Amino acid sequence: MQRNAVRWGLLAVFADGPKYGYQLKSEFDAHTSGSWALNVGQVYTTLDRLARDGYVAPIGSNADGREVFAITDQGREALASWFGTPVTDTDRPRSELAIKLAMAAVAPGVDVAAVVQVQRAESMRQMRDYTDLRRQADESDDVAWLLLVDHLIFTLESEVRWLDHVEATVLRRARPGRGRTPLKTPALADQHCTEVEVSGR
Amino acid sequence: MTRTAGEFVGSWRAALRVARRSTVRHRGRSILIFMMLFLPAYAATVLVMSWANLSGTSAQELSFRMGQADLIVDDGDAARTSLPSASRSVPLTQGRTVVAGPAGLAALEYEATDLENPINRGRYVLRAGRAPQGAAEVAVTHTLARELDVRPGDEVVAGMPQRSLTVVGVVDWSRSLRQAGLLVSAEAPLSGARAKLLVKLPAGQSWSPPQPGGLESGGFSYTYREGPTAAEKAVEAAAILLVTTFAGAQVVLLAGAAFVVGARRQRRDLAMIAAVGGTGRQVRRIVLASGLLLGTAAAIAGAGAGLLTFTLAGPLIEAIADHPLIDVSIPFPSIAGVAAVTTTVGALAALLPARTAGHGPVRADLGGQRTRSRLDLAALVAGMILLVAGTGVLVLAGNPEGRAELLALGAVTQLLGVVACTPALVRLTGRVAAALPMPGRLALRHGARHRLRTAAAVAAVTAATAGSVSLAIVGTARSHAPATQHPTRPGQIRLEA
Amino acid sequence: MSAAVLRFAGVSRAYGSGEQTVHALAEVSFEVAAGELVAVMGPSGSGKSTLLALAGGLDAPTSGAVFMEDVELGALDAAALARLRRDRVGYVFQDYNLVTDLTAAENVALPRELAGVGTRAARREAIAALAEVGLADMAGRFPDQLSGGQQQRIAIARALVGQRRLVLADEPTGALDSRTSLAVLEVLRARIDAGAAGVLVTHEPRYAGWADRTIFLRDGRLVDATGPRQTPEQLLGRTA
Repeated sequence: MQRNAVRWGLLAVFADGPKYGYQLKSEFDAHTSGSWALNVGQVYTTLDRLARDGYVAPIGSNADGREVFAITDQGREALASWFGTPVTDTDRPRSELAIKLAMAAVAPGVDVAAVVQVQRAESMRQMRDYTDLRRQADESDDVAWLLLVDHLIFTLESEVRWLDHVEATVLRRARPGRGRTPLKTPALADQHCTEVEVSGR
Repeated sequence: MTRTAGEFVGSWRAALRVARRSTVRHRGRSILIFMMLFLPAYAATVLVMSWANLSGTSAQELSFRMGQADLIVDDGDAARTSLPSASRSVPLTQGRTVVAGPAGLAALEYEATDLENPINRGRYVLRAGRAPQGAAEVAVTHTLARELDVRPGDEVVAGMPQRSLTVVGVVDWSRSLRQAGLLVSAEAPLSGARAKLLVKLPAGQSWSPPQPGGLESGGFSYTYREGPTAAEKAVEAAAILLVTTFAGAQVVLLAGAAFVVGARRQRRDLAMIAAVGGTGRQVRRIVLASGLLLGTAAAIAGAGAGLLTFTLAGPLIEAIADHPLIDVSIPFPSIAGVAAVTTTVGALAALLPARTAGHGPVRADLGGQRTRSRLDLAALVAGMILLVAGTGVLVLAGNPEGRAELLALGAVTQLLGVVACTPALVRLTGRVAAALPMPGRLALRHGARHRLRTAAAVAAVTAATAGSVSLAIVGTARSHAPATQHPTRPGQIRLEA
Repeated sequence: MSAAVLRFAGVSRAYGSGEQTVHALAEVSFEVAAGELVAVMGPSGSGKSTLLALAGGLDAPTSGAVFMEDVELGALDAAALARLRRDRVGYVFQDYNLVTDLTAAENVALPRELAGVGTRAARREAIAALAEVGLADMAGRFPDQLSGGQQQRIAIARALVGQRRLVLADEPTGALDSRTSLAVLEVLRARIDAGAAGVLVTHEPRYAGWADRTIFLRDGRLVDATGPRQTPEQLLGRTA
């Protein structure tokens, strides 16, 4: 997966013109703000594979004697078809967080609420930190990078929402009846009334 | 400026601004309340003006009868010699005579006097032409001119014996505009009648009848100019007090109901002002300010419109009052009183909603929660106490010797008692609602949910009913009272012929 | 970080009595410093709104103490609390924040005027506060002539007009779409960065991310808070 993503990502960098190897890495890092932590060796290996597949081809050397590559017609075609194909992430059901909470819910003696809370606090910590990054960004920043940060923020948001859901589901199962008839306690009925009135305005 | 004074000024300024804006923005409600305050103020102004200029126990009533005279005596030597030397007088003969009309002869009143003498000022109004002079001229009253269809220049036949007279003027008698009659010059009475003298005493002098008085010993009858007695004044004051209190309470309740509705709608705004840092007092001030604002506007407009009406509708008012408007004076203290009462009523009407607005828990108001307080029960108890107290006062004061202030107090106390009981009663009806079919249930539930508003409306209707019923009772009692009152003044001797 | 602007010390708030007692807040302690925005999250009925009401003196704790700049709110009478709300704390609610019968500038000037500042001076302060949220040209508009986002920004301007240094925001973006919400949060954050302190109640994780810290309430208890910031290198797993 990861390797595939790097391969297509690097090929996409060629779309706006010929590049030599190190230039490829620095432009990719700029678009992702270094968050992929590619090393030079990995970049050259991938470049070799792209050349072998016929997606890029060497077009000579620059003044410094570095070998420069350009995208081929075949490469452009492949890139276009990558953009046109949806990602079917087969790793999704195998997320560690999903497994941890699924097991916590069935394993005896685990306080699911506590597990959820620890994770939620951590997710919110990351949320805050990514939001900081996003806030410090401005118009001049690389748009690819801004979208990547937004992706992280939105992913975290859905993670936190899912955690809320996990908590609610587990608690409802643990205390049957409570979730279904919360109106029995007068105080809760009171609050319910309030909310109805407010939203009714 | 100290901090507190600054807060005071600042909050009144803000309060008046909010009040002004909301008055303008909620036009319908504002106009409703304004009219509730304006109409009574307007009517009161017209009434006060009419009262002062036309009727009642006021000085006007006297000048309708006596003009500027201090004294009316039977003309004769005995009378003339008893008068102080510098007295001025004008002769007056009042009697009945015969007038030839299209339907034959008719007996009518006539007066013979010098119309232009200043002492007669106030007794007559010259509507057209001039005063009659000599034995061949006559002035007729408006009513007679219409009956005989004559105008200045025409002839009428009148008197005993009958003679032809030239109509030179049309007059009205101040004591009644509807009376048909004739007015001739003092030296040519139309028929026999005892002559009298209208006497203006020298300034600062008084007169007392020679002893022993009485007709048998060569005496004479007289009428002395006297203002209303203390008793009459007291009755008048009591009547004004009762009417003002009851009408005032009525308007307070009606306008109060409208203000309660307004304050409910404003509740979120008021809660917001509290959250922003308004103290309860400052929040109350805002509701109060709109009452003051509308009250003041209604007072000024009411008084102004009343005065204008009085100026423009003079003839109509004369016709209704049956007296002419002479020397119109504006009773400024009374008008100011009307304006003050109107403003006060406006403020009072806003007071109750203002108090509830200032007291409510801010959080509940912001959340739109309705407070289920035990206030209703407290109000019920207070209402019961007020009812008992009011009834007690009424029982104590409800006799001919009773003080009018106490009566007014008792009535208003009772009214307040009823008002205080209403929220609890309204809530009770809410409980009954479950047994009713849909429309009734909906109405009762709605009423019960908006208790304060319903209570104010119910109270207003109650007050209106109570007011009209008591007026009706007074009216009935009055019309059943035997007419034993004689049209005489103190000191006047009346002999039935 | 300087001294705490707002401090909750073991604050509990219960409603009702006997069997019916509901503990809206139980033993909650936290601090908000100047220049700090603290988000409060938790399911409905977890005590978020109660916490805000207590913070501004709209409600009083059953036990524990709320301090504002080291003044205990419990020791103040109603008038002093009103004065405190007028001079030090501003509320921003989900909607209907503005007094409908006053213009934007008059709304912002209101706390100052209630405090006895002259009309002109209050208006000057209000215009300055409106300029800080980018709405100086809306000064003469009435709330019903403004969009929801503009109203909220004006509410923030009012919350921080004059010497006010603490803004208590209860779902300020609850009635807004996501773009408008971000504009409101930007204004709020800018005012916090300029030295104010703030509490932001929200159920949107993405908006809570704008705060420096998020505290979680569950059944009236403070269960957790977010940890310290990471460096961008830690955050992105960069190899330096």
